[in-house]
Amino acid sequence: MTVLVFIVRYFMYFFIPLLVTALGGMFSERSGVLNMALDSIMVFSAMWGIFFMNAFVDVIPGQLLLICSLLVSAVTGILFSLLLAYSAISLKANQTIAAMALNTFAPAFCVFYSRLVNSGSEHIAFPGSSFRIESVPLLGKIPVIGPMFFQQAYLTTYIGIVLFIIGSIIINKTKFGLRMCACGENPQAAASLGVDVYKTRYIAVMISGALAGMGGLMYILPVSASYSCTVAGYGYLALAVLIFGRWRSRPLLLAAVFFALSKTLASAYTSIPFLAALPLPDAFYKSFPFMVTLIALAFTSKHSSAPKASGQPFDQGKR
Amino acid sequence: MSLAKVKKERTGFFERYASLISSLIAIVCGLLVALFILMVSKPSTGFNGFLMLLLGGIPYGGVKNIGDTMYLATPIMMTGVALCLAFKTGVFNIGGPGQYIVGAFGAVFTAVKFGPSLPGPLAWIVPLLVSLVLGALWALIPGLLKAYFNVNVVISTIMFNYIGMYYVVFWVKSYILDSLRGQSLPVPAVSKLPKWFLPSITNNSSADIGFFIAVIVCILVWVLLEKTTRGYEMKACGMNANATTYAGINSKQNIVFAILLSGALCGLGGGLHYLASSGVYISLVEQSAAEGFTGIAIACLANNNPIGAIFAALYMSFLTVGGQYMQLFGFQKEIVSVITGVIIYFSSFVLLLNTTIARISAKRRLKKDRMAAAAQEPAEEEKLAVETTKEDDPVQEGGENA
Repeated sequence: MTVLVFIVRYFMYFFIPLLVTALGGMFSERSGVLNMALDSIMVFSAMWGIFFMNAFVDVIPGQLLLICSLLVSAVTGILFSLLLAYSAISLKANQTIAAMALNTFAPAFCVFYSRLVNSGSEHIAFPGSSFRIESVPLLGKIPVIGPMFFQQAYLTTYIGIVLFIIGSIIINKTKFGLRMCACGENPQAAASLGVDVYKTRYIAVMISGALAGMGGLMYILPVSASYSCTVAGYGYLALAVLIFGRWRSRPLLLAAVFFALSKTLASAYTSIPFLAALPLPDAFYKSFPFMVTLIALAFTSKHSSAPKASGQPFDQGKR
Repeated sequence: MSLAKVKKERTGFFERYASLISSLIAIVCGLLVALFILMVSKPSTGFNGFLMLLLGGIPYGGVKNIGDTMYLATPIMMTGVALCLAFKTGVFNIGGPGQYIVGAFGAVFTAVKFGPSLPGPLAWIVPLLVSLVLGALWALIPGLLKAYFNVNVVISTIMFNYIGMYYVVFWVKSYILDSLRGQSLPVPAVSKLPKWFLPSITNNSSADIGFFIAVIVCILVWVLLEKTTRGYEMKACGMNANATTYAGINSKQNIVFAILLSGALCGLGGGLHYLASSGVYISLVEQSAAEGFTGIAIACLANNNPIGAIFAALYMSFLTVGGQYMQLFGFQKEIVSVITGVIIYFSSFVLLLNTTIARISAKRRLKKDRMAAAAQEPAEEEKLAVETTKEDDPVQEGGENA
């Protein structure tokens, strides 16, 4: 029982950032911009969120500080994603290369900058555990579910779930969301009906930057006590979740559950008796999510449900 | 008719050197951003640090730095040329880090286990061949998945980067662990790449013949792509797989071959680096091999030209050597990766801008020609002919440069 509770808690730590970041990726890709830069957005904006948190730790009390830090991460995420948006949308550059450029830039810049301001070390400690909610009032007392989901939890977990619900409603139910998807499927048709494709794509990439930025901080917060300029490839994992989830919000949720579960197994399998007894190397568990993605992709890619115009620059004059 | 002739004689500066100019612009932009960051972060030593970066630390290191530049250029030249090949043939192989480290493991493993029992130069040739094969193997599955299941290469190769990273650490732990130092066992002396005359002329730098191997490979790849039927087919498949299938070329086979070769070259890069005489060890840290991603920068900078990759790799490693000396001025060497990122960022669209400039200048020149022609012979047909050429030419122009 205690093992199960422990695993579920761990699962939530992995699940939420993955879900939020993949949702960000979904915004960008449904509008037609391939966002491979999720990883660097996470790294970059998590750093500023952490800096903000450390700077205002005595000024802003408790959970409000966490919310403010999340907002700072979101804003820096938006600013950083504008770099991608500008080259991919306005300058019609190759989106993969522009994103790989950002992926090269961000971790190096973060190491450079944090060593500069943090007396030579890129590990920035932050008071993460002070945000832990020991037990949510009322809900924490529910017998089984309480200890799993409402004890020793972080506010980010609930914020992440709310963000996902709002995000999927925006994509699936609102005028903006549907127009955005039209820009990703057939931008020329969307433009012919008066949708400003450039503007829509810019907004979509900015939303994706905000979500990935918050995802970065959400990842760092529960699993470690210091930020070390990396999110352990979570941005790429989020991309895999997005593809595995076929760019739709409900499958995306399932894909995120699956990935977080296998990620949890990879880091906690030694405490699960029957898995620890199996003669499999830890490399197997660690690479398990990636291998399963490949197999799943092999079966689902033949008739890809990817947005048709994803990765292609929009050219008003083209038909 | 006459206009076409005129056009050939007077291709503009921008058109002829579009890719070179765009690379230079990207480099200058990268350096300017670096200067900006340095000046903002430490105004007192910023400029001196920047100068050191620009000069590759030669004021301190002398000719040794040139040798070290060659040594550091070797692996990234290989991953760079591998990616030039991949991008040119339309296979977006982001799997450089995985193929590189798996190749490196193959080379080190073979050298440690069998190196001493192999005669003469075979002691280092065989490990290199193993690294070549393993790199290709690591690219095989993404290639097959792409050709037969239409799986996005970018994603599948990224997945293989992680799988490779985790398994190499596991394999090193299981087979070739130096448990005292927590890294791979040292490569036996016979399996290290020979240095030839290089130490004597570069003041005992780390340079070895790996550099020449890499340069030869770059030239061979250029020959393959530009001078052989196979290379032509591969490039054609990269542009439009359906069209090539229609023309009777086996596009699936070509895609698989392209990614296999690209993986093999990345693997060889890993082999060359980890068999270097200076002694490099595979660490147990689970981290993607940076050389694989630097290859992307090099391919961009070289505009996917294998010969350009030689110079791009030399330039990048020159910066890296310079970056090491920047620590004298209190700066972290990561600034080099920052510059790399900025350079890739700019090179992703500068070429497009350049093509646009070239198109505009060509248009303007045509207009001038047309006016001149109109002034000479105001005949109606001539004007019409000029109109049609003007309509056609910009399109052709774009096609050539893109």
